[in-house]
Amino acid sequence: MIRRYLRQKFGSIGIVIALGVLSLLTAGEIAAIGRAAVLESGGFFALLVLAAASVSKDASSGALQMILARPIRRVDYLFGRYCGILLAYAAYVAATGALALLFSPLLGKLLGGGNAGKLSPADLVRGAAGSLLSAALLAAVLLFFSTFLRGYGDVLAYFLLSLMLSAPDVLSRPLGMPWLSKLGIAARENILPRVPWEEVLRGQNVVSPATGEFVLAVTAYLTFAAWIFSRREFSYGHD
Amino acid sequence: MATTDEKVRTGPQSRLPRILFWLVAAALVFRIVTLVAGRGTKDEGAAGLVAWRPREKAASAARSEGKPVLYDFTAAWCVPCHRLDTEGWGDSRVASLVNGSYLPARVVDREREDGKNPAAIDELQRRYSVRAFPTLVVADADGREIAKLEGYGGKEGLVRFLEESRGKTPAR
Repeated sequence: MIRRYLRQKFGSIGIVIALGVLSLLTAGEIAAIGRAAVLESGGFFALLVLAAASVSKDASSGALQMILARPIRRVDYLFGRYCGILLAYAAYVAATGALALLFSPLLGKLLGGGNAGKLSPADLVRGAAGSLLSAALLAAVLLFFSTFLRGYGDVLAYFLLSLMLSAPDVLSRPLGMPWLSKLGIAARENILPRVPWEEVLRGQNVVSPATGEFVLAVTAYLTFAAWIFSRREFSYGHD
Repeated sequence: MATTDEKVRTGPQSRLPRILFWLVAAALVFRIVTLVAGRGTKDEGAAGLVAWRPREKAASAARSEGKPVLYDFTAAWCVPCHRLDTEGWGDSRVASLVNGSYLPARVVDREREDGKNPAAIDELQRRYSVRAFPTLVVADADGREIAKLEGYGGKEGLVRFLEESRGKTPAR
């Protein structure tokens, strides 16, 4: 299943070009500001490219029905897709990191001041690991939505979810209700948690509420995805 | 193979592996452990109506939410800090201003109580040259200082500082 996913993604020239452009842009930014933490935000779009419609596309094309005609467990297919997304993303992160290291001395000379050219390999490794760990959550969320939404509905659902979780915080001020902000933050921290991986990978706050929320959220998304996917019936030709 | 979406599948192909349930149980246990472990730092998020974020989360959320971080450097023994907590952070207008425009995070000094601070707190105090309590520091997503207020001189001064710092960008 992993190989099939990788063949599917890297067999598409459009996806390879999109990932290449994103990789070049992110590597340039990392080298220019000398901070590998950019890999996390820069990798977001790459992960969207890799993880969007990962199940729904197979379902709508009819490929899923052919795969499931074989004696394999549905969760094997689903987690194969998940591992494939993370493997492909790891390759993207590794390539971007290597490019950033390559650009770093060059941009250091060109830009002169600031942090350009001061990228450390240790920082880069931490940034890459943090980026990969953050990707584990986003990929799980998209996979979850992809098990029951059509086409690119998973990406749309992710953005809608992010908006909905930000709304209480934004509305609390004009409505003069500070408790609404607290409620929104609590919801966001549990549904789409963010972990300061840079700190955690330095050995600080490893056992913190943030890491607990993260582990539970990833496990919950994958479990719900497996549960929904294993109970759905797929018809031929359309999802 | 059935051809409708309404039917629900059961059978060996649809069976969920038992390890998945163990993983969920382990994740739940870990979540409880982290909750209990996080209680020790609860004082960092317990002042007034402001929705304080854990220090580490505020910094990482600054980029994604597009807001600057507002650090409140405080200490348990500091009397003006308590005034700030009740008069400032306890005021709904101030709390709304802070919650809407900043990612607020409290940095509680423990040097007097414990003899030393955790490394992360020491690093923050050094980075923003904190010499007194309370000190408020507004910083951008990259940690660059935008504005700083030392001491607490009343609610009006606090509101002025918070409103003025909102639109500022860091000095390069």
